[in-house]
Amino acid sequence: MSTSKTPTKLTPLRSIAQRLGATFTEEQGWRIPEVYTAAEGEITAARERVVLADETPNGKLLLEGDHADSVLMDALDLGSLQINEGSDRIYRLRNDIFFMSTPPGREVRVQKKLTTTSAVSKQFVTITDITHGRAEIRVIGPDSQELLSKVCGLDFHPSAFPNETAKQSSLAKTTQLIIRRDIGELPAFSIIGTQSLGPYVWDTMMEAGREFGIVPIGRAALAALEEE
Amino acid sequence: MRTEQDTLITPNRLHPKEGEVIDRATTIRFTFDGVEYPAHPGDTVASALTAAGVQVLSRSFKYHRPRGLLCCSGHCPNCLVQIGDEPNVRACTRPVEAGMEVRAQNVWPSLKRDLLSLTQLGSRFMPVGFYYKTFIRPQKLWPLYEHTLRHVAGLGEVHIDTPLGEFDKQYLHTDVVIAGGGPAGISAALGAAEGGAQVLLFDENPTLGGHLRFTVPLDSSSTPEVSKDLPELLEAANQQPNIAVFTDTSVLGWYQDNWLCAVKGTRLFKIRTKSVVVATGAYEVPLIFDNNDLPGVMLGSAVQRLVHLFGVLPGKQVVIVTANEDGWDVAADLQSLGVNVGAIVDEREPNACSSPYRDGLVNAGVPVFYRHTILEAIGSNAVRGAKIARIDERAAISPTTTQSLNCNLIVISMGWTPATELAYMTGGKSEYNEECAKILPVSSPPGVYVVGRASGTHAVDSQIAEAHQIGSTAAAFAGSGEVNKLTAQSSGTLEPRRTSDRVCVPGNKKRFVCYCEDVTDEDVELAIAEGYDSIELLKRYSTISMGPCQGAMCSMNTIHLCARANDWTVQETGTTTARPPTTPVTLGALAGQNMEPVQTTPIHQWHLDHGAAMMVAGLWLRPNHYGDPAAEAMGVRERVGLIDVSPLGKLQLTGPGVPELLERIYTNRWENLRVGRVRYGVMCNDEGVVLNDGVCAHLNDETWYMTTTSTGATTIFEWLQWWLQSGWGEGIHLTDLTDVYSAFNLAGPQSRAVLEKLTERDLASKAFPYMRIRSAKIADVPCRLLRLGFTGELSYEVHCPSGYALHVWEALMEAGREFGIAPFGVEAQRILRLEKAHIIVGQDTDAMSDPLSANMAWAVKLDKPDFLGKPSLMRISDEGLKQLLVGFKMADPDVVPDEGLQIVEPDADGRLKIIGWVTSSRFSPTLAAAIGLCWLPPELASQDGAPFTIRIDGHLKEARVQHSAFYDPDGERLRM
Amino acid sequence: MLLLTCPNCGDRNVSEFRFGGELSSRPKDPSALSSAEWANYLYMRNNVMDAQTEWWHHNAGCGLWFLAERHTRTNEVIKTYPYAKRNA
Repeated sequence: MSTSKTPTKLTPLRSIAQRLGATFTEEQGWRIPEVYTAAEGEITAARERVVLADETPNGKLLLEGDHADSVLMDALDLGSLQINEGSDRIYRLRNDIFFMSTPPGREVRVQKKLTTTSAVSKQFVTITDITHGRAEIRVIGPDSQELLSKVCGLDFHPSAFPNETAKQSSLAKTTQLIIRRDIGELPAFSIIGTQSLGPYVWDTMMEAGREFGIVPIGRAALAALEEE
Repeated sequence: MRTEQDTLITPNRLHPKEGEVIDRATTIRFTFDGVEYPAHPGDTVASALTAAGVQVLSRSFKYHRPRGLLCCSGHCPNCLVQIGDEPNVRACTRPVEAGMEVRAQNVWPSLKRDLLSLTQLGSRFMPVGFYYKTFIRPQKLWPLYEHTLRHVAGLGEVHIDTPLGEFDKQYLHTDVVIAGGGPAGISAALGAAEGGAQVLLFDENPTLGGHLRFTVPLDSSSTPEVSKDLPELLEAANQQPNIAVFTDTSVLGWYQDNWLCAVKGTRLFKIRTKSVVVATGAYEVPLIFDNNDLPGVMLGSAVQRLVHLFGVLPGKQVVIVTANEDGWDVAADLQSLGVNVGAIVDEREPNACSSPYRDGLVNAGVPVFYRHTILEAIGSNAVRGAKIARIDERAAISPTTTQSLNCNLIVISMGWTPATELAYMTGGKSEYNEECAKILPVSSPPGVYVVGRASGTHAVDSQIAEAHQIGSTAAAFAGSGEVNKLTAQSSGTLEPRRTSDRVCVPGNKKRFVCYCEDVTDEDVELAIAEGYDSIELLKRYSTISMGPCQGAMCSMNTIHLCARANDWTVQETGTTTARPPTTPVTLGALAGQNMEPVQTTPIHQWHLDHGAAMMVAGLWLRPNHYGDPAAEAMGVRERVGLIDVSPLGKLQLTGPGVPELLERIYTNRWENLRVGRVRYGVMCNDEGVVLNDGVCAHLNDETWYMTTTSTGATTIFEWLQWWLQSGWGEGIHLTDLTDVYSAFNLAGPQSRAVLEKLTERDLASKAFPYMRIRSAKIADVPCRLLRLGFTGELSYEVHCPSGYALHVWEALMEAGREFGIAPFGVEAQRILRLEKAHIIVGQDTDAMSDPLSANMAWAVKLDKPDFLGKPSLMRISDEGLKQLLVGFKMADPDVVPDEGLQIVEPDADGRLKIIGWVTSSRFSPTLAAAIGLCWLPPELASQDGAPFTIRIDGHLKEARVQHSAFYDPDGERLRM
Repeated sequence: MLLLTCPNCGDRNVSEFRFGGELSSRPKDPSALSSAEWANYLYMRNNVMDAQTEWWHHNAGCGLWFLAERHTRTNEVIKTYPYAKRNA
């Protein structure tokens, strides 16, 4: 045994960020880009054009089972863990499948609680932590709808795709879970798909977004945008 | 700056006038075949060349005849040129740019003196169907024929070193699409938008307005002037927030459920709409007569486009050939510009003409020839005159009345045919309307509407009124506003007949029906005489309407010729099926942005940094080797190696129903698999064909962990989902963990020693035997370890959460350094597994291979109650095997047969008979032998050591059957 | 492009789906079948020119296998529904 400290987790997009000269920071054990060029410029680009951010560290849980809804309901009623507080979000992908998105690191506690609840209720529900298996790319900015319309056949107009809703579809010829999560007035979408396709999806969106002046943004700019 | 010289070399440029689109204040320069020409921003390549008096723009496809502007609207092939790297550009629609290098296509040695035009001297030996008839034999010579024909009959040139263009696609969603932005289209857009619908309005021209941009609306005052309707329509459309306008955009096709495809330059739009209004206007129809393709013969609307939009007059002595009021409009238009109209040749009786301009033109002394038509365009490279003659009472040409008129521009204005391709793609029906001599749309599917000239309505006032109502109906269909019941009624305006039945004037020179493919009326008659009489057959045989114009110039005339030759009515003759694209489109636009998904593992960058030669496996990029695959294989045999097997499919199965499912989908037994154990299994479909193989581990109480082949992962996941969702899913959940875990195989006699440095878990064989799974922290990362043996050595598959993958990989490499660890790639793994005679599904098996024949009877338990493929395998077992997969060793260790080679045996007559084939082969560095797997007849395969011959480059090479694994047949090394 | 209604995700382009063939089910007791009956299950399809019930998989979406009633001549999709509701 060499050491006993938990090693740092890397996202599938780290090599791209490295190539682009990003400086890195650590969040809940994940190494993620802090700044690519300058946070101010990245914030401006997000407000005025369109940007990409690597949000792979967000916790991702999959709940499967015909009674997954009742387990979720039970867990929500438990005083010790208010799932809908904080920024955990639950999306029903199918009658029997739910996707949960948590802030980085929280997925471990949430999974534990849900597993206990499901065991107590004796419901057959499988709760799987798929955080490591999915790349999560956030598209932010006024041109994000226009950009996505170049890589995906869904109608991204807010009337057809309202905020805080999720759809699974083909994006750049790959299967992705797309969640609209605006930042205030700023349109934003999370693109969640198998991590091995992450670099390809990132590169494809960067190329499609060139006409809009797309840039990647780091944790610093993202935090600033979310604070507003 | 424009110089005096420029004025001298643009003799056809008129004085400035209202409505033109060029910026005369600026002069730019471009070249055509090396000669420099001036142009103004707003000019097209063709308008600038016409201004400079250039008439010949191209040579024809087959006979290399000189061709000049005909339609000037992007609908004919006559002005196709090469611009830089881009072939087949329509010069009449492409805006000219400073410094553009424009060249003529399909000429040798030059546009002016194209020696290939000599082909027409032999043209009576090149009838329709010439290529099919002549070049079919001998087949051996086809490559030579093809090379020569491509040179002679080609269009533009494609340079393979052209840099990749930037193309992309965009999806659009809307309520109503309007195809065509003329008066009808704009009005329909307004009607729909006012009804509350979101409207996308497409037009192929740089600005909206259609023919109102360059023609005088009929039924207006007798003084030609720019339409007053257009500015009003444009202003209204501009004020309407629900309308998005796409100019320079051609709608290429309609597909099921109102899915449209349109192209704007390098971008392709895919549009889903609720309803469609087709307002695509009409094409002016050429007349077929001797030398009707001579530069200087132009359609009336083409001349008006040049004059009004670009201030260019293509000829100063004009003869107008017509059969309708539109020809008189053109005459009046030119007359008002001070052009000398040499004659109006109208095939109608004098009393049939009701043009408001007639008196003015006659009083101005313009000669009018009623009941006359044109016989021939006179000239060699350009029009010098027109031969005309009288039509007698029996509608025949009377030769004695022939006379010649001097002119350098012949304007043809014989009629119109609705541009209805898009309407018919939707499934709309058409009928021939005798009254207006046109084939008109008579019905269209729900949510599809046809308006304006495309529906046969010519008068602008009627178009605007009708289209507005239909626009609101289209909006109502899309769910906005109310359906107006009155809209079904037409405007009721009786329109004068605009189109002549006469499409062809007989003569003794070439008369072209199809300009794209150089097909004459005689070719059409010959094709019909040869039996290709139906319009669809005629099209395919003669290739009429299959060229760049897509039938815009030739369809209507062909139908008339076909009807006449068969003595059918036009209605009986019918039309050809309309298919996308309506107009030529570049392959780049259809291809769009490069989107070929690529999967990479978390170790990808490390592989690249360490000199890996990557290979494509399915969508994955994997290291094939790091320089020396044989050395990598030897390293595993002698020391320890590490391979990235992250692409392995990894599935989690949970629930009480899993054991029963495993029994059903695998051919061997599963119910007795205890926790912590791993078993190899083969999956078959019900035909008994091997689909996939892999291992499945019993992790704990109700959780199993299955691996599948890397390239079959998605397929198997979908296949399992189908069984689960169609009745076998009770008590089972299936989750794809392929990307959640990354996997590395640490293989070699030293693998345990390496792993022990990184974990507290007891790895001794007693605590962790072969074919077991254990959870363990490896380098502080929670992992799953599977003790397997694909390579034939002691080995551990380390599965770790993907975020930690690089950390674990590097820790293993570091820990292994003292043992001489090296990474190995797919190629070394293939050598290692072949030395163990382990099969690879898809490499050694195909879509016909069952596991019994694939020598895996040990993994098939036919005494199980049921499993997928069992009934088929029972029958195969009963009937006896036809082929058997077996190992072989070459007699000569230096001869490695290519995979796929045939195994042969002489028959009674000494002729070679194929009895099998090689599926895998490698040089084994461990054994210094050439080894492989092959399919053989069972009687041969069952004899260990039996010799047989493989045919390699015509030579017969000996090999011998080997039953045991080539390396460590007893598997002792796996259990170390 | 054909629009197909996934019972779970709603209207989507047909390119998001994979066709799974006409609805047929595996015999309950295959061992009781004659070779002809087994071959019939494996290889024979009705191939009707009419409304046909068939399998579709939303492979670029939610992963649901469902049934569609589609007219094989006009390509009109009459209805789509989950397998569980096939007898409803």
